[in-house]
Amino acid sequence: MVSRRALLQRAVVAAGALVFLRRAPTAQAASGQEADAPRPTHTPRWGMVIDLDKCTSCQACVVACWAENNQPLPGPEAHRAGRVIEWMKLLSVHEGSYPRVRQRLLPIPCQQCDQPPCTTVCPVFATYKNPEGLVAQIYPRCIGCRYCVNACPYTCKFFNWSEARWPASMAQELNPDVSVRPKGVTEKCTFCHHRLQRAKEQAASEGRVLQAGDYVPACMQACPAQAIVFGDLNDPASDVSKAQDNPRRFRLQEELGTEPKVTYLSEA
Amino acid sequence: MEVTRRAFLQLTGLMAGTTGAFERFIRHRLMGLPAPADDVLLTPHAPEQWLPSVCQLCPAGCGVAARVVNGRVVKLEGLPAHPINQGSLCPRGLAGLTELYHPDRLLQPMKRIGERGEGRFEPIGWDEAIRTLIDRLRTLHQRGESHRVAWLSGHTAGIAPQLIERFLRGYGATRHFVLSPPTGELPVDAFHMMVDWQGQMLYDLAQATLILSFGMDWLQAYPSPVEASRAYGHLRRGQPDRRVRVVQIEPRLSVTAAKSDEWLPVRPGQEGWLALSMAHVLIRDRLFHERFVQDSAVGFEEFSRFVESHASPEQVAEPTGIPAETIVRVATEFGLRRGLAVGSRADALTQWAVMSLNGLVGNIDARGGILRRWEPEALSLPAAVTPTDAPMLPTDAQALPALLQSQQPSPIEVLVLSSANPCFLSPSPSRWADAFKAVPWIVSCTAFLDETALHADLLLPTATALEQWQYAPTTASDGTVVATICRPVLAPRNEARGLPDLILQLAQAFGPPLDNALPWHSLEQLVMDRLHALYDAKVGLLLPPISVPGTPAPSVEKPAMNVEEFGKELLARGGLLWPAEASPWPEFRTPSRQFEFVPRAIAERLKASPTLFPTEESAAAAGFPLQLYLYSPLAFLNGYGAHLPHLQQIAGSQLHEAWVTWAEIHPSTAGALGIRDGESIWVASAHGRITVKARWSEGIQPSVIAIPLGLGHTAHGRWAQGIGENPACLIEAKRDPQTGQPLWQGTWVKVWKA
Ligand code: SF4
Ligand code: SF4
Ligand code: SF4
Repeated sequence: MVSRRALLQRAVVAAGALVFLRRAPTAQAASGQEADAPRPTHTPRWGMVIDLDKCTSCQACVVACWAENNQPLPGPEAHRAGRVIEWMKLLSVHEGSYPRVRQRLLPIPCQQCDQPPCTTVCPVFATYKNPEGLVAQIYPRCIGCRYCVNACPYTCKFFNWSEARWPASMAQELNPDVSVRPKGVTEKCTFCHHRLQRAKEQAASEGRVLQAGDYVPACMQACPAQAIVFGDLNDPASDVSKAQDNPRRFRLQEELGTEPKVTYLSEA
Repeated sequence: MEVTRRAFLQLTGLMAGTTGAFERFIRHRLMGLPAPADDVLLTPHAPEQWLPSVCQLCPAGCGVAARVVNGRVVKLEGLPAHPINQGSLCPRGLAGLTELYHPDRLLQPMKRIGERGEGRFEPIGWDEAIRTLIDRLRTLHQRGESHRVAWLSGHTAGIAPQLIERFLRGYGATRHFVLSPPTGELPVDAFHMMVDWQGQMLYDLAQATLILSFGMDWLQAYPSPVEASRAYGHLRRGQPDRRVRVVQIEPRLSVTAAKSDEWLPVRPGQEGWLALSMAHVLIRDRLFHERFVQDSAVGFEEFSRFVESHASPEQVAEPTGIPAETIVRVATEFGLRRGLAVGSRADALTQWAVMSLNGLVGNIDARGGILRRWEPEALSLPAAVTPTDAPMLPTDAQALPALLQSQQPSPIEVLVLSSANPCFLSPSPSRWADAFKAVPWIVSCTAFLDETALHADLLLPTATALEQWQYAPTTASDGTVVATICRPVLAPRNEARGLPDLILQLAQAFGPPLDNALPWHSLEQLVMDRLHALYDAKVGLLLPPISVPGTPAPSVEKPAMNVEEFGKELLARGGLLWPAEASPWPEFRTPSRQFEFVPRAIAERLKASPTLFPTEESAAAAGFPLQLYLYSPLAFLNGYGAHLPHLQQIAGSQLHEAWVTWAEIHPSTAGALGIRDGESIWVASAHGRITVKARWSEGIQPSVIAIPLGLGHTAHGRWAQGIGENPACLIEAKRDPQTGQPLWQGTWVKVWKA
C-alpha cells in the first residue's frame, strides 16, 4: 500500500511536468476529429452518480462490466499478483474497532475526470478526453509504458500483463461490439462507450435525437438496487444532474483537482 | 469517418503479424495513421436479437433477456418489467453465460468404467443410456419393487420438481429427497408450526417499516437475492422523505451488517434469546398488536409467562453479549414501527422465537410483513393419472445416508440424482460417499462432473436454463405471481438435454403406467398445451414486450388475440403475471383461524427445560474454545458458484480475498494465539480439520471464527477444483429434532498456526 502511494505521488509530479509538452497536440487532435463529424447542437457531458445508501455491495455491476467489456478472466495467479483487471471494482474500508466498527463498500469505476491526470502523461496520445467528457483509451496506439496506470489516483487503469485467453467454448460469449485488447496495452472503463455508439446509431436510424435513457452503461443496467444514475451533466433536467444536487454528495480525492464526473452520495 | 475506420482496420489487419509496443508506435506515430475515435469494433453491425429466458442459478427465477448475435449468446441482462428482477440481475445471473459455455461441462452421457468415485467414465450414446436406465426400472417394476427407487434432488428450478414427483408417483415410488441449502432459506418450519399451513412463505421486504434481522445475511444469502437488493434500494432512498432503518443481529459483520444502521454482534446460537427478550419488552411495555393477538392468536398467555420469567433483557444480556439497554431500545423501536423480524431456517427454536415477534406485531399476511406464496390455478398442470394415491414419504434428505445403509441389501436399489451434490455440501460430506457404496446403481443427471457425480454409474448431461423450453412459475416477494414461459435461447450444447425433457422421454420410453402420468413427449409439447389452457382461462397479464436498449418500448398489445397470436406474443415476451392483489390471502386466515404462539412441539420443549439456547461451556472446556460461524457469500449462494471464475473473484471482496478459503478472526483472539494477519492456520473440530488463511477483522465477535462455504471442491471443473478448503467437513452430521434439517451452526473449534 505504502509503495503504491509513493508511486502515485511520483506519477502526479510527472504528470505536472508533462503538461506543457502536451497541450497543443491534444487540442489539434480534438479539433481534427470534430471536423468530419456533424456538429451537434448540444454536446453532452456524461456523468454518473452512485448512491451508497442504495448500493447493497452485491457486485452485479462488477460482473456486468466484465461480461460486457470482454475483460480478461480473473484467476488465482492474477489475483495474487494484483493484476486482475476489473474496470468496476468494489473497494472496502474498515473504520473503528469492535464492536463499533463500520465498513464502507464503494463500487469504483473510472471517475472520468474532467482534469484527468492519466491523459496528460501519455507520450503517444493514446488516452485522451473526448468532447463528450469520456476519457478514452486508443488501444492500438498504446505503447504499454504504463505512465497513465501510475498517474491515475483511483487505480482505475489496468495493464494487460499477459495475453487474454478464453477456453474455446467461452470465446463465444465475447461481446462483438468490444475489441479484445492485446497483451501490452492499458485499458480502462469507457462508460461503455460502445453502448453510446449503438444508441446513437439506433436513434439515427429512427431519425431522432438521442434521448435520456437511450444510453445506459452495463453496470447501471444491471444494478438491482438502482443505486447508479447516469446521464448528461450538461442537461440540468437530467436524472443525473438532479441526483447530483444532493447534500450527501462527495467525490473521491477531490482535493487532487481531478474533477471526477462520478459523484457518490454518502450513506447517512 | 466510417471509411477511415475501415481503412484503418484493413491496415492493422495487414500488419497483424507484427505486434508489440514498438510496431504499434511506428504504425501510429511515424506512419501518421489516424487514430480511431474509439474502440476498434469487431463486427459493428451484426444483426442481434434479444430473447427472453430465465435464470436458474438460484430459486428466485429472474427473467433474463439474452442478447444473441450470430447464434452466440453474448450477454445476459434482466428482463425489463419482470416482477422478480425488473430488468436487473444479481452477479450470479450475470455470470450465467460462463455456466452455459463452461469448458468443463458434461456434454455427453457416460458410463462408469473405473471404481466408484475414481472418476473414470466412457462416453455412450443417449439410446444406450436411456435403455440401461429403463431396463433397470422395468426389472424392479416387474418384481413389484418400485419402492426401491428413490430420487435425490438439490436445487431444481422451474417445472422439474413437479415432473420428478409425477414420475415417481407414476412409477410407484414414493421417495423424493430434497437437499436444502445451508443458509439463506426462509424459516418455513416455524411458519408451518405457528400458522398451521403447509405452503411457502415470503417476506414483503420492500414494504417493511423496519427490518430487524436475526442472523440472516439477507442482502447476500436470500432465496431471491435480486429482490433483496431491490427492496433495500427502495427502503433506503426510493420513497420521498422516508428512509427505513435496518438492524442486523449477527456474529459477523456481514455485507448486510455493513449496510445496516446498527450491527449487534450476538454470540452465535443466541439469536433466539435475543428475539425472546425483545418479545419480553414488547409484552411488558404493551407494544404488541392487541387486536391481532386477541382475535387471531392462541397461546399468548403461555408465551408471555415464559418470556416474562426467562427472557428479560437483563437475563439474556450475558449469554447474548448484547447490553440490556440496547435490547430495550431496539425492541421498542420494533414495536412502535411494527417492524419485520427476519430470520433464516435455523434450528426450530430460533425460528420460532423470531417468528413470534412477527406474530406479536401482527405482521402475518400483512403488507410489509409475512405473505404466502400462491399459484393461480390456471398455472398448475392438469391432475395426473397415477396408479397410486399413496402419499410421498417424508423427504428428509439428511436421513438418506442412514436409510441407504440400514439393511443388506440396501432398501434402495436405484438412486437417481439431479443437481444434488451432498458429497460436497452437507455436514460431514464423506459419509455420503460411504452410504452410496451400499446402493447397487446410481444415475446422476448433472451439468458438471461434481463430487457426487463421481460416485454414479451413469451420468446424464443436463442442459442449463437458456438451452431449454421454460415453464417456470414463481412468486415475487410482494405476492405478484409470474410464470416465465419461453423457448430455448439456443440449442443445448452437444448432447446435453434439459432435465424436464429427459424425465418426459424416460416416461415415454417406459410406457404405461408412467406415460399416463406424464403424457407429453417433450417440454415443448407441455408448454404448447399450457398455452392453450392459459388462453382459454383468460387470466394473467402478458409481460410487456422486450425493448432493445436504445429503443423506445413498443406499444402495448392489441386487446383481442386469437390463440396463435397469444402464444406468439407470450413466448416473445417471456411470460404472464398475476398482480399481488389477486392473492387469495388478503388477510390472516388459517384452517384453525389462529396463530399459535406456542405450538405443541415447542411447548414440550419448554416443559423439558427452560434453557433453550445453551452456551455449551463444556465445549470450551474440552479444548475447543472458539465457535465456528459459517456463511455463504452471494457469489457462492447455496454453496454453488465456485466453478465460475467471476464469482470466485468477487466472493471475498469485503476483505479483498479471492481464490482461497479465508477465516475471519478478531485481532485480540488471534494475537493471544500468536496468529498474524494473513498467516496460514489450522482450524479443527472434533470431526475434521482444514487449513485456511487467517484474516484479522474488527468485524467479528471475539469468540468466533467465520469461514465461507462454497470453496474446497475436489471436482466440478477447472476453476473450482483444488481451490480453498471445505469447512463442511468440520461439521458433525446433526439434525434438528423438530425440523429434521441439518444444523450447520454451533460447531466448536480450536485454531493454531500451520
Ligand atoms: S450493482 Fe448496484 S447495488 Fe450492486 S454493488 Fe453495484 S452499485 Fe451496488
Ligand atoms: S479515474 Fe483514473 S483513469 Fe479515470 S479519468 Fe481519472 S485519472 Fe484517468
Ligand atoms: S437472483 Fe441472481 S441467481 Fe437468482 S435467479 Fe436472479 S439473477 Fe439468477
